[in-house]
Parts: sequence; structure tokens; C-alpha cells
Amino acid sequence: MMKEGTLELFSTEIKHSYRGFKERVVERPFMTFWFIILLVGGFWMVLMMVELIQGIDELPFTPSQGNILFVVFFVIMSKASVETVENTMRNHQLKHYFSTPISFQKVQISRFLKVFWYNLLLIALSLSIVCIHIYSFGFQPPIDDYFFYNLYILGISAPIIGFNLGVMTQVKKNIVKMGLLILYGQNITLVWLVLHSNISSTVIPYYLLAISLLSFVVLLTSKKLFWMGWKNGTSSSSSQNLRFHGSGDILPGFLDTLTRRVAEKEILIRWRRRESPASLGVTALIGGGLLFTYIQLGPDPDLGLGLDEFFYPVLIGMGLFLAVTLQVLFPTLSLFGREGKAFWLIRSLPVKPKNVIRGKVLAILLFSPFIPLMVALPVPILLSYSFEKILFLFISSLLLIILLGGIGAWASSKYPNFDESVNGAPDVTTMYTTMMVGMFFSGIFVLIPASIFILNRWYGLLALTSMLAITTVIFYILCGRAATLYHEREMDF
Amino acid sequence: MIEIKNLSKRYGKIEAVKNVDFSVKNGEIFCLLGSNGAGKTTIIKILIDLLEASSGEALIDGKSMRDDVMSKMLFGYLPEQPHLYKRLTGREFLNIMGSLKGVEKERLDEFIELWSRRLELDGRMNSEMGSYSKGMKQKILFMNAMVHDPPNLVLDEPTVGLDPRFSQYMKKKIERLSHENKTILMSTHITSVAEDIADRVGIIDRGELLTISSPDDLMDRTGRDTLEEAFVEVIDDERRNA
Repeated sequence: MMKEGTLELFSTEIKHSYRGFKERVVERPFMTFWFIILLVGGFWMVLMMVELIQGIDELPFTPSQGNILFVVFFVIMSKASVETVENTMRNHQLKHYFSTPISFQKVQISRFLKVFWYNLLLIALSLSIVCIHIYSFGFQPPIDDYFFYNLYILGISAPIIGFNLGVMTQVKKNIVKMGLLILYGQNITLVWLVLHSNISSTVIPYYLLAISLLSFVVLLTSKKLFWMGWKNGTSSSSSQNLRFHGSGDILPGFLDTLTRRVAEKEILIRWRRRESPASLGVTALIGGGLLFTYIQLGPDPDLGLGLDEFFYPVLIGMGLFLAVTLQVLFPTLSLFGREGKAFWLIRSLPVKPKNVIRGKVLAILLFSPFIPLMVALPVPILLSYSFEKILFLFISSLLLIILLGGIGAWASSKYPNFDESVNGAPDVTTMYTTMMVGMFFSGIFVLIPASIFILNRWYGLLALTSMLAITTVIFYILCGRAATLYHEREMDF
Repeated sequence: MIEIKNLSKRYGKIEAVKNVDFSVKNGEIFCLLGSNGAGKTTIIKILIDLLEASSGEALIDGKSMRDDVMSKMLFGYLPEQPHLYKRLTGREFLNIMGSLKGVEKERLDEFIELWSRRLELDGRMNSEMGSYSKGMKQKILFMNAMVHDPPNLVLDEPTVGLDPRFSQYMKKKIERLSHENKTILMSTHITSVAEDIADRVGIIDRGELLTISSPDDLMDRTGRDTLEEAFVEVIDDERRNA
């Protein structure tokens, strides 16, 4: 009986997701094709990088079998955790399930199976692409026969651990939440220890299996936690103890009133959903990672990569792109999807579409100055870079913010996802494609001035400033197009 | 004044609204009556620019909302489903919406104080709206529709979710607003509401406007005692002849 209920819920979820996926593929065949090309290309790049850095001894990490497996485990676990929070713990639609005589556990297991199933698909797809690359291009990643046994087991344990962590993050009392996360988070340490221990390769799979079983027991015995977490994740509270409250005079008066009010509404909502603090935290983490690398490798690392003095600028460039993607691109992608069924509110207001777009984008860009502050500037200052170099990195970060902000705003109007079961998050093809398009154009807009900068600093800066001006024009065009698309959008739901 | 001129809306092969034509005079309460999925909400959504018409036009005081966004000042809208920003408090929501509709801060504060008291929401205005009951959300939406004192009100199922006390209060308020020369277009499938307050009703079925009449005339014409019976008679008659 329990199995039947769980499988019924699971199949309903899969049917719902499959129909959504099919609709997107039919609606946007070119986008899907482009996504597949980018995915295949992305794996090729990863394998190339693994091959490239295999011979470097000075790095604090090497692409050993243990490291590769741990990275795969960590990515799947993080993905499962985020999916659990966004699609399950904050999903109001689960109330329909909870209002039936089905037990909490059936709902919990069916939601877990959904996360599990998608991650299995992801592993299968990734492995297929990697195998094709290995046989086609002759890559030689540092793996042995036991790699696959371990990968299969980690493919099971990562979603379980990720799901449990996602549930625990939604516990109401902070002290209990921290306690649970610290205790249960030890599973991640255990996986790392097992993968990096001197235990024989033949035995490692059994240890990993034991960790998986332990986590599954936690999953089976945490139905009350799941129920309490869901209630907390979907409940609203009084705003008295929140930082922003009142009529919302958050922004300075020199902005036009309509743009300001739209932006204030966005800031309040994003802050209360903890989206802004979370993305700031991720930016701080990236900045911290760069500092850690500097402390580990020192000012002149000789890694044999042929980068020499460009090592840190390239690394900072990569960090900047990642930070801007996470703090600007992805949030702007859900500008309208996040409105969900409340989209009618903003559409029925006497506010011009351009004000709506400006206000919404402004709310996200307001937090972006932290990106140059946390990512672009600390390491160059420690390295005692010249003023011109620091200025170049600073302007580059502004360029990336404006470019990716514009792309995100356009894509959010073109491909909004009003599906409330995923809280309006953009679908993965939109996220991945816009990210790659952003990477391509930011590469062009920054690398050309960078080449000139090497020959002559001032001409390089002039070229970059010109590129910034061009990017600003592109930003305005994209925002204008986004406003038109928003105005034309029909609310047929 | 609200004018719906030969309005049609198609979704692929499905024709949701078929050449609907009517107008609502200043100070009049016009009620669209229809079964579920008859096309009432579609007409309203086209009128306020949430949907685009396949043909024909919908005007408020002679203006199309699609062509002139600022004309949205001319109406207040109360939707059928109370979808709101769950993470905003009632007060914040009305403050933001009011200022976006050009209402001055002082007037806005007075409005919120007065109406939150009248609708017995004053104890909950600083709580996030995600914690509100359906009736409370409906009251907030009614305040939102009225906050800028618009000359036209478009109300989609205004009494759904309200308890009998407030349902009656809402009906009286709508009547008073019409006496203040406000134009009111309502949609409902609760016929007693239409019978009590509508000057005219339009019966719509499967996207077609079948008849327009005052409630009394309609009951006389069909020989029925209540608007509900008259409504069923009109719909059944149409379906028999179809």
C-alpha cells in the first residue's frame, strides 16, 4: 500500500515534468539543439582541463581519481540539495498531497525519488558524453576500473545526502538547524576521507555503500523533520524582525518614482526569500577561494601552464565570470518567472514596461558592487598590481555585470517560467545557454582590450572603456527588447 | 464607460470568446453571468490587457489598455484568484501599489488606516500576506482596486471567499460606488449577487453572449422567480437549440 501511494505520486511528478520538458523542446527546438552542443562541448573542455593540469605538481589539488569522484559527488549533492529546497521544501503545491490520506513519508519518498531519478539521468547522460569523448579524442583521465563502481554508489548517496541536507536547511530554529547540518554534514567529510584514504580500491565501494545506507536510514526516519521543514519553508511570518520593513523608502530619491517603487518591491521580496544574502554569500565564497589560492601558491606560481604572470588575471577573470553568473545572470533570468501567478499585479498597473524592467534589473544590480569588491580587487591589491591593471580588472567586472544583466533581462522576458512548482526558476536549457552566450561575448569584449593592454596599457584601457560603452548600449537595447516582450506577453494561466 | 466591441479570442482551434459586444454606462453595475469556462474571465483579462484579443477591441473610457499603459489608472481590478506577493505585508503591498498608481503618501496612509479598520484588517496589516486567509486576501485586493479612486471597477467574482457579513458589506459598497457614478463590470456565477445589485446582466455561455437584460426583465421573460432559474433556463434553451 505504501509502495503504491509513493509510486503514484512519483509517476504524477514525472508525468508533470516530462510534459513540461516536451513542451519546451517543441517550443524551442533550436535552443534544445544549442544546449546539447554546449553540453557536449562543456564536457570536452572539462576533460581537456583535467588532461592539462594532470602534470602540474604545485597545485594544492590534483585531478586524481579520488578528487574527480569527490567533485562529481559534491556537484550532484549540491544540485540535489538546491532542488530539494526550491522544488520541495518551498513548494506550496504539496499541500494538495498533504490534504489527502497519504502519509508524510510517502510524499517525502516520492519527492526524493524525483530528485534521485533526475540525477541518475544526469549521470547516465554525462557518462555517455564522457565515454564518447574518451574514445573519440583519446583522453586519458586518471581513473581505474573501480572508478565506475564508486561512481555508481556515489550517484546513489549524493542525492540522498543532498535531499536530507535540503530538508534540514528548512528547520525553523537556527540552533537546531545548525546542529543538524553540522552533525549530518559529517557524511560529506566521510566521503572525502574514504576517497582520499589509503584503503585498497577494492574495499572503498563497501565503505561508500555503508555511508549510502546510513543516509538512507536518516531519510526514512526523518518524516517529521520533512513535514516541519515544509511547513516552515512555505509559511510566512510577521515582518517585525526582518531588516527591511515599512513603506519601503529604501532607494534614494533621485530615481524616478515608478522605477524606485518597482525596485523596492523586488528588493524586499528577494531579501525575504533570502536570495540576495545567499548570492552575496556565494560571491564572498568565490572571493575567499581566490584568496586561498593566492595564499597557497604565492605571488609567482610556476605551474608549467605557460600562463606565467597572466595566471592570476586569468583566474580572477574566471572567478568574476562565475560570480556575475550566479549573482546577476541567474537572478535576472527569473525576473518574471518568480512573479508566478501574481504576474497580473504588475501587468495591471499604470507603469510603463521600461520602468518595470528598469526597477527589476536595478534591484539585482544594486548588490553587484560587491562583486568587484570581493572578487576583482583583493588579490590584485595583495599582488601590488599597478593602478592601471587594477582599473582594468575593475572596468572588466563592470562590463561583465552590465552584459550578463542585459542578457538575463532579455531572456527572462523571452522565456519566463511561471511554473510555481519550481518557484519560477528558469529551466536548465535557458540557464546554460545564456551562460555560454554570456561567456562568448564577455570573452570577446574583454580579451580584445586585454591584448591591446599588453602592448600599451593606456590604449588597452581606452579599448576596454569603449567596449564598456558598447556593452552599455547593448544593455539598453536588450532591456528595451525585454520591455516590449513583457508588454506583449499574455497571461493565459 | 466600458465598451466591448465584437471581441473574439482564439486559442488555436478553440474559440474562447466569440464576437462579444456590449457596453457598460457610467454609474451602471453590469454583471457577466456564466457557467465555469464560459469566457467571463477571458473578456475581463482582455479588457485590462492581461490577454490580447484575436479580433475586436475592449475600451475603458475610450482607451485601449494595450495601446496606452498609463490608461490603467482608469480602472481598479479585483481578480478571481487572490494571487499576491506572499512575502510582502498587507501595508507594504498597498503602499507600493498605491504609489505606483500615483497616490500621494499622505492620502495613501489615510486610505490604509481607514479601510483596514473598516474591513477589520487593522491587526494584520504588518503580517506577510502569505499568512492571510482567502477572505483577508480578497479584502486586500478590494483595497488595491480602490486605492487610486478609479472611475471604473472591474471585479471578477468579488464576493468569493468572503463571509456573509463582508459579502453583504461588499454588495452595499459596490452599490454605493455606482451611485458615485463609478462604472462597474462584474463577473460572477453567484446569481444572487447579480440579482441583488446589478442594473443589467449579460449571460454568456461557451464564449457567446446570449442575452443582455435587467434581472427583473430576464425573470419576467423566462417566467421564473429567481435569476438563478432564469439563468439556467436561458442556458438550457440555448443548448437545446444548438
